Amino acid sequence: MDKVIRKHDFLKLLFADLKEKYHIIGPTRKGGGTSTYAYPTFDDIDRAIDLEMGYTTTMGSLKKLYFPDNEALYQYQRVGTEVELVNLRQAWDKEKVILGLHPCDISALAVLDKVFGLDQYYTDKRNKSLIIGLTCDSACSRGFCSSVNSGPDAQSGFDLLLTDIGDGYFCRSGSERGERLLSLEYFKAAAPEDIQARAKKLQKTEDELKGRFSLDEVTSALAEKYNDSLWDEFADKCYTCGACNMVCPTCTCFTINEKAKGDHSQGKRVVVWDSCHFERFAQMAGNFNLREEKKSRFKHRIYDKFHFSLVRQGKVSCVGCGRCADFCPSHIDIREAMSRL
Amino acid sequence: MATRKEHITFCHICGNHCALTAVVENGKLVEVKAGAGYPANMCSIQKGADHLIGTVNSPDRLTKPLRRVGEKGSGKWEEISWDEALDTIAEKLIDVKEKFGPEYVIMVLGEPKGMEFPFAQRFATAFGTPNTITPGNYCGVQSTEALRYTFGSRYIRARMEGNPGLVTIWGSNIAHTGGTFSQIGRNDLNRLIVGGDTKLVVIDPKNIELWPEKGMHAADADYWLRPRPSSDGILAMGFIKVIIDEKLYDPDYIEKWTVGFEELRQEVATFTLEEVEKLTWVPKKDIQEVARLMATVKPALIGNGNSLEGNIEAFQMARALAVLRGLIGSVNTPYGGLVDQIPPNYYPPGAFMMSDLKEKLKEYPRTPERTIGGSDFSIAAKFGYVPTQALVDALLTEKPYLPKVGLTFVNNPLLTYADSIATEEAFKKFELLVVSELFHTATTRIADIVLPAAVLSEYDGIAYWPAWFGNLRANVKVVDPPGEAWPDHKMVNELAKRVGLGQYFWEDEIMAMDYMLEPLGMTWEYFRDNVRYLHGESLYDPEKVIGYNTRSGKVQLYCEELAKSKVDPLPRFKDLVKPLMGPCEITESYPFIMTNYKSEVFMLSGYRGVKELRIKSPTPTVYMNPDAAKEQGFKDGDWIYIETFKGRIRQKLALQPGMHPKVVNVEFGWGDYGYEDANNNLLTEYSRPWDTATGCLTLRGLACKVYLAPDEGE
Repeated sequence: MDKVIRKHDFLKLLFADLKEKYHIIGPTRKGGGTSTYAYPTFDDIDRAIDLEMGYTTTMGSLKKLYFPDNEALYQYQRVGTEVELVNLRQAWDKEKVILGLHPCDISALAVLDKVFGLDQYYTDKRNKSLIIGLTCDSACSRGFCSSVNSGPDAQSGFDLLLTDIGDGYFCRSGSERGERLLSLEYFKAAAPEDIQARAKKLQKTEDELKGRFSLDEVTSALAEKYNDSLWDEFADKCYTCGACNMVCPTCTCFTINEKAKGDHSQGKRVVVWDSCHFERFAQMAGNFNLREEKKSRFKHRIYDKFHFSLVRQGKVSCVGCGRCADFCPSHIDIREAMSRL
Repeated sequence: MATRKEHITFCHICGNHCALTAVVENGKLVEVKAGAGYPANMCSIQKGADHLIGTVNSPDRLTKPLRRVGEKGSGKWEEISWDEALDTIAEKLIDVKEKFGPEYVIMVLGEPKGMEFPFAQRFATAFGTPNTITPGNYCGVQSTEALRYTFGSRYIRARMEGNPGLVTIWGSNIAHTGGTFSQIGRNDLNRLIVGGDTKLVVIDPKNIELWPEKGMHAADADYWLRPRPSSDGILAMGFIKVIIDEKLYDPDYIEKWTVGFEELRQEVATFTLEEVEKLTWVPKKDIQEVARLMATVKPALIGNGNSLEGNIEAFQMARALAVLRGLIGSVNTPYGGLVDQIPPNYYPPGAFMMSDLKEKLKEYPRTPERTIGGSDFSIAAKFGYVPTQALVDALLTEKPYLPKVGLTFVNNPLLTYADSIATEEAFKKFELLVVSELFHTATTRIADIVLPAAVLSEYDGIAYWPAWFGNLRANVKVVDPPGEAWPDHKMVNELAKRVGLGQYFWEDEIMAMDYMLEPLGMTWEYFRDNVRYLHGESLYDPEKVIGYNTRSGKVQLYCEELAKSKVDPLPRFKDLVKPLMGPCEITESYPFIMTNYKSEVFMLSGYRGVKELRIKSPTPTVYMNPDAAKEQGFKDGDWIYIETFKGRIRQKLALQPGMHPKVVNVEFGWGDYGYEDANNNLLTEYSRPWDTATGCLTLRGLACKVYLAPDEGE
C-alpha cells in the first residue's frame, strides 16, 4: 500500500503515536562533540527535534542494537564450593521502532538474520522491531548499493519505507504491521504525482552513485583471482586497524572474553566484536596461524563478503553502504578493488 | 594535462603525528589519507584530512603582511611588503635593545609545530632576551620533567609490543586528541581490547570514546574512575598507599633499584583512604581494586595525558604518578610496561637553540634578575621557558619592568592564556605586537603587524615534537603557501639578518635543517627522500633491569635534586589537596565543579573558521550528567551559562550518562569565528597562586554554577 504523510504530521502526530507504544531509535547527533556528533548515529530519540532524517550516513551501523559489542552473556561466582551462574542477557521490555534506516542497512539486517537467526535473544529483538526505512535523498560519497542490489530502493525487510518528496514523505508498506500503520488518519492516499516524485528522487540518487560495478563479473573474477598481485597492492596500504569491520553492518565476527575479578571468585563471559584483520584472529592452538600474512587477512574479508557468502548462502553479504571506505584511514575503497578485478 | 602526485608527510593536528599521504592534483590538495608504511594511529585521520585540506585551501588565509591603520583592535589594516614589515620590526627591536635592553623583547610561542620553536629560541639567545614565553607551564613539562627527575629520562614510552596486562589511560582522550605522553596509540590498544588478556582502566571525568568505530567508551572499560577534577595527585597517592599498606610491591626491587621508599612509606601514613575517597570522589573499594591490579598484573603501564596538568600542584601531581610507576616497577624492568629509549641522534631543540651560542649566553644570561617572573619558576627556568601568566603579570603590573615588543608565533594567547580579559588588557600594552598567523584570530585583532604564515605541508620542515616521543619526521612541502605566506622559521631567519645576527643564522632554512641533522650524517634532502621517519631505540632487556639515568642510578621516589630547586623531594598529600581549595571549593553559590576538554575536531583554539572542521563541530558543547541537568531543569541541547567567581560563558548542553553529577565539562578553545561568549578562559584566573616549580595555574576544577541561557546567536 502506498500513502503520503505531511512532514509536520510525521514529526508531530505519528511521532507522538509511535512514542506511546514504542521505544524510538533513529539517526541523531544529540550527545555532543564526539565522533558521534561529527557523524550521526542511531540512538534513542525522545524528541522529534533530535531526529536527523536528512542524514547521509552514520559511523556505526544498527548492528549494535541486535548484536551488541561487549555484551555480557552470563556471570559466574564461587559460592562456597559451588559455582553459581547468572544469565546476564536481557530481552527488550518494550518494542522498538527503528526510524530512518536506509535501504543498505535494511538489507544488512537480512544478513544478520542468517547469522543469528537461531539465537532466541536476537530473534526476540528482531520480532520486537518495527522498521520504518527511509530511502536516501542523495548518494553517499563512497556507497555502491545499486551495484550489490541493496538500494537506492528497497523491496523487503521493512514495515514502512519512506521517501522524502518535499513537504511530505511517500510511504510504502512492506508488512501487515506497516499496512495497519498506514490506516491512521494522517496518512493520505498517494496521488500519481507523488508516485512520480518518488521515482524521480530514487532515480536522482541512483544517478549520483559513482563507481558502479557488475556484481556477476566481480563474483566470477574473485573465483579466479585468488592469487592476483592486486591483493599485495591493497594490503600494502592496509593498517589492519579493523575500522572497516567495526563500522560494517554485516561483519559479525566476535570473540568471547572472560572478565574476571583479580581472585577469579567472580567473572563474566563477554561477547566482543573481533576483526579478521587482526593477526591473532585466525591463531589456532599449537601456535598455528591460518592467516599470518596481512595480505591473506585483507583478501579474506573481501572473499567473505563477495565469494564465501555467495557460495554458502546464495547472496553476497556486502550491502554497499560504503562505510568501510569512509572510515578506512587509507581510504581503501572496495569499488576500486572491484573495478580493477 | 592533469597532474596527480602523492606525497608522504605527517599530520600535526594532534600529538600523534600520524603519517599521511597527501594527494595533490594540479597543484591543489584534494585528498589526505594514512601514509602507507609509516606509523599512523588511526586517530581521526579523517580529522587530519579535513584540517589539512580545509586549511591549505581556505579562502580566509592571511596572504600578505598587514599593518594596523586604525586604533588597536579596530580591525583596520593596510597591506605592506615583507621588506617593510621586517624592517619596521627590526628597527623597533634594535631601538628597544639599545634604550632598554634585549629582555624587553618577548618571544611569545605556542606548542611547537615545525621549526619555528627552535628558531625563535635561538633568536632569543642570540638577541639576548631570556623571555621566551611558552605554554610549557600547562602542557607537557610537568609530566615529562617528573619522569626525568624520577627515572632519569623523559623518553619513556609504553611497551605495547610486550602485550601489557594492564593499561591505565589517565586524563587522555587517545582516540581523538593524540596519545598519552607514553604513546599509547589507538591501534595497539584496540588489539589488546579484543585480545581479552588486558585489563583496561580509564581515569577521566568524561566518558571518552575509546574506539569510536566500535562505539566503545570509558564506561566499557574494566574500570572507569571519575575523579574530581584536579584531585588526580591525591588519587595516585591513594593507589600508592594501598600498595604499600598491603605490601604489594617487590621488596627486592625496592631495595635494589629505588631511593626514598621509607620517606614515601611515612608520607602515606599521614592520610587515610577514607580521606582519599572523600576528596577524589572515587570509592575506596575501586581505589583498592585498581591499586591491586597495578601492583600485581604484569606488564602494567600507566599513560597520562596533559589534562592532569591544569592545577597549582601539577608538578607534584605528575611526580605522584611517576612515583606510582616506580613503586610497581613498571619502568625499565623485564616485566614493566614502560621503557626508556634513545632518541635519534640529531641536534635537538635545546642544543639547536643554544649549544653553539655559549658566548651569547654569557653576554646575556637567562638569569632570574633579567627574566620576567624572576626566580619564581625553578623548573621552568631550567627548561628555558617563562610561564604565560608571568608575561600577563609583567605587562599589567609593569614589574619587574614593562615589556615593549611581543613577537608571537603559532599561538593565540587571547583565547588560550588563563583569564582572557586580563590577557587582552596586558597585550594591548605592547608598543609593538607582531603576530604571525594562518588566519585572523582574537590575538591578531589587537596586533600592530600581522605576518601571514605558511602551514606545515606548504614548506619543507623537520618535525620533532613532542621531543619526548623520540622520533623525527620529514614534513614535506606538498603545495605552495597562499599569496606571500612564509614559514614561521623563515620569518625568524630573515629578521635575525636584519637585526645584525646573521652570523648566527643561515642563508636559507634548508641549511639550518642540514645543520640540525648533521649528527645523523645526513642532509635534509637525503632525510626527506630516503628516510622520512626515525624513531627512538628501545632499551628494553628481557633479562634484567636496565637501570636509570638519575644521579643515584635508581628510581627516585624521593628526589634530592628537587630540594635544590626549592621543590619538595616527595609529593605530599597536604600539598596535593591545595588544588581543591579556594575558588575550587564547592559552596552553596557554586555547587558544581568545572573542568574542560579539548575539542575532538579542532586543535586547541585553532582552525575554528575552517569549514571542513566546523561542519563537524558547529557549536561549543558542555557536558553534564543527565540527572544533574534534569534537576536544574535543563534539556539536552539547551544553551546554558557556566559561571565561576571569575566570569561566565555560554555553551550548548549535551547530556552524558555516567558522568559524575557534580562535574560540568566545558569545551576549551572557542572564541574565534563566533561564540566569543563561549571562551573557556573567561572562567579562569591568571594571578597567584601558581605552581612555583613549573608555573602551572588553575585551569580546571573551579567551582561553578550553571543556569539557562538564551539561545540567540546559535
